[in-house]
Amino acid sequence: MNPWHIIWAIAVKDWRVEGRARDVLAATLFFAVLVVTILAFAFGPESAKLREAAPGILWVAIAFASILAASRAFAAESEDGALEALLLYPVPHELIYLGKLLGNLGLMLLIAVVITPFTLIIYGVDISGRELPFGLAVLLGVTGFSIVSSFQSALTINLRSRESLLPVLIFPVVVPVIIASVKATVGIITKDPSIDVQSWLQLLLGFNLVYLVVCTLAFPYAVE
Amino acid sequence: MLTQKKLFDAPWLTPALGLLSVVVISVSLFFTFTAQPDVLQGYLTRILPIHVGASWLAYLAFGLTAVFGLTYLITRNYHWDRLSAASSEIGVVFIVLSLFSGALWGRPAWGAYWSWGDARLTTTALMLMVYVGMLMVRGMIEDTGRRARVSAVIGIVASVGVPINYLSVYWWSTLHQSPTLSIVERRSALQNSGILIGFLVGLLGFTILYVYLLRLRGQLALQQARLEEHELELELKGVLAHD
Repeated sequence: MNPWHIIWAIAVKDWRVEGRARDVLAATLFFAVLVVTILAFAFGPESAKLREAAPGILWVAIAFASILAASRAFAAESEDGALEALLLYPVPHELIYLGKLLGNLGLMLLIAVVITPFTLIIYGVDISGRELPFGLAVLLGVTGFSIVSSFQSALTINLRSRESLLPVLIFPVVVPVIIASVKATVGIITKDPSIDVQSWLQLLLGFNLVYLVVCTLAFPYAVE
Repeated sequence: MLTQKKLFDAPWLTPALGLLSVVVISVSLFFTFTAQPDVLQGYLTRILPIHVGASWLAYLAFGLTAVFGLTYLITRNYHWDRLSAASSEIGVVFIVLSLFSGALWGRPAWGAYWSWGDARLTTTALMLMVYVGMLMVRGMIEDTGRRARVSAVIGIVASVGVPINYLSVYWWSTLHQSPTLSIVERRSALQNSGILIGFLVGLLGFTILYVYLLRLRGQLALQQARLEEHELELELKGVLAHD
């Protein structure tokens, strides 16, 4: 079987489950909207200050949403020995990780597509004419979170109090993604020439590639 | 080869290493506290042998945590898992000491206990978080095999993250340049004052201390594992006797 077919089949399986139950999307999206709204109250009503804080707020919401979604992604697999059955398929375990990653990434991108315009609109940020680089920054950032959080979620499957443990494992690792995404989006929004948007995007790309390789290679050990 | 193994297993080796580390660190402290006050920083540099020694030990411990973890995944011998766990615990203790002594030095030298602008401080704090998370995960898994496997994987992924974290935080902070003291300046200051000897001896002392603590913690872990095995056997016997 073609490896792409295997990856696609696992991702489609996750999307089908999500399409029927919608528990990840509903909870995660609501949570992200809540974070964006609460931070607006926390920073006060000055619109200039809020506009400045908007990129940071957007990434806080996406980071938290990513952890929530990843933790749910493998929670479903831990029921009724689903993960054991999945691992019994005669395919390399690396491909199972990539399939689960694609499934999670699809949901996260859907959430990002909603939460990003929502944040930009309610904080009054104008990115007209720069939608493409902004979209690229969001895509790379969301992919970085997804790679790490899917992996750590698989690692902690079936653990007691894993919901509180996952952030502890994920956040220290994804700090470069948070820094680079915030820097890149701030640079795109403010057009500040002192921020080199391209090199921050390259850092994101480099981080994603390194972690994609490391997590894919380590995944068979994580679930064996 | 045989004599080497004999030496390695000798019961007196561990306490001897402990004693040696105390002696060497004392010598380092003697040089540190009898040296002339530094030209630039005065008495402040006296904390450096402890601070740098603890930081070096923590870096060494975290590096070896990943190496031992990888060796465990290849050999599947619990010996390496025990060493990896011991190493990460030692690393956490000494990185806390490093952050604490650094903060004490930073208050008079930089004017603040903590600076988010400094790459090294920020990454050190992140490293502490990663390894505390790893120890928390260890504490939650009862199955020995899975515990060893999962913590080895976390240790390896974390060791990949440290250089990336360091670079990204470094680039991040160069954009918001804050008045930090460069390592190069510190080193030249040390050469002037003569604390350098105490500093170098201290590095040696902390390395010996690491080997001592690693052996001690490894032996303790071995005894714990044996005890658990023994208890399990007794329980099984009890169950059989009941039937």
